[in-house]
Amino acid sequence: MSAASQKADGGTRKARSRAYHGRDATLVIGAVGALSAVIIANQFLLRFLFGTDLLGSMRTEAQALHEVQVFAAWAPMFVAFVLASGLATLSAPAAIAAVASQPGRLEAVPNVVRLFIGACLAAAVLGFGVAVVLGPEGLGGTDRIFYYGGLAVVWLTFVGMALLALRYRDTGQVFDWLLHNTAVANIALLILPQMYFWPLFGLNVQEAYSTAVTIAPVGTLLASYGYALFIRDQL
Amino acid sequence: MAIAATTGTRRSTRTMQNLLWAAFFGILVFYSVMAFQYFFAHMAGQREWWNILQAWLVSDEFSFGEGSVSVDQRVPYTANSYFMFVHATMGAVALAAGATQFVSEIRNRYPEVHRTLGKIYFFGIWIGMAAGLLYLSSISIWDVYSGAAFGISLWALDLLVLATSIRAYVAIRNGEVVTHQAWMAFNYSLVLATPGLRLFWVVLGLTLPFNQAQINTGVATYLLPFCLLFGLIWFSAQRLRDHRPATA
Repeated sequence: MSAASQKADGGTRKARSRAYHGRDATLVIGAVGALSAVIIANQFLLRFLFGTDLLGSMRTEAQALHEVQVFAAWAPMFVAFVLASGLATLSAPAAIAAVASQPGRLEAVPNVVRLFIGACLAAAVLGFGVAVVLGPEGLGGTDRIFYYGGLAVVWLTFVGMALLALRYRDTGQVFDWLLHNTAVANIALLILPQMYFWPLFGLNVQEAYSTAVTIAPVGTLLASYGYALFIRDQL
Repeated sequence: MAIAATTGTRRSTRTMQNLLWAAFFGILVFYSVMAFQYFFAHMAGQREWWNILQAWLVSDEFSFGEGSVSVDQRVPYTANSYFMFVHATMGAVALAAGATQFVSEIRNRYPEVHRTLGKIYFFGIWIGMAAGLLYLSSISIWDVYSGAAFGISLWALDLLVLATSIRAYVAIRNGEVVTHQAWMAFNYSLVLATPGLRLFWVVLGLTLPFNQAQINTGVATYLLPFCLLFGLIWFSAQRLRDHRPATA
């Protein structure tokens, strides 16, 4: 076999390998994204409309009343944030699969990738805006503003790196940065269980919130990083 | 002329990269020296260089007043000074030794230097994190600076630094260079949380009306993903450089 055909054969194997892992990843990331979308929708929209607050027992009356008043004044921003976050978490598996189907070099940027990146950008900015208008009087206090602000900077950097990778058309790089953006979009999935977990060890609600938001991003990024390396090892 | 322009652009890009690396390394070594000195001063009953610098940059009240590490942690630090002494000194050694490991010229031209500094780094990390965990085990989680949330985060950070360093070590022993580089990038990013936290103490102490403990809890909520930017971007740049096609 000539060197050129060996290289082509390696490229075909890479394509098959990415396609195989893309199917598994699509299912897992899709399930994770759906759950995250439900959690975010519940916390920032549905509970105000239907009273279905997953963290209802943890808010004080004053906090709950304050947040209802803020929602009434800023409802469009809350709706936009929920839509952007939902779009990000739900389009992630399709975006990643679309990139994985183009081994080596991206000839064209799939529209779903543009949609995903745009949704991430909007969710990062709107998330910070929602935290600012909720202010320190809501659940999470000042730490929530710190968290959404810092995370917005991190997430916007991830979006920037994904755009840079798209500019170079390197499939591997785009794949990795889409994964990391997905990790940030799905942080809510690791925050909610911790709000119930840490009080079992005597932490109050504020302490549980601060702990949850500190640990959750590292957990999701560890997962995305490990998975990106795993895929790379299979090639 | 086009080739000369391209070469000139590459040269200026390389110069800028070298300057950034030099600044990064300089800041880390500067901080490492202060971290190394911290518990020498604490155990001698003197003011620590870092706190003096922070007081000069922000205010005496911020560095030595209510809510400061100096006040809040005087008792637990003194009671467990040997654990914290080892943690701080070994962490400082690892921080300085690890900084140069990301410069490709050093790795490629002086592999023995890279390996020696790597061994120093692992030694510093393993001893330093073990001492940190022993300190955390010896006090109540609520007695950790700025409270239980930060205490749990420190537990998670120490364990994650240990785990990723061991993963990276196993990878290089197995000859898996790329995996080793990937986990070292992740690992060192976590270690950067220490100087990163101090940097945010100063920046936010200057700009926000909170004391050090309040800023500490707030910064902790985004510090780790912020520091991971370093590792993720560095590793991505390495891979991009490896894949970039050679010009004619």
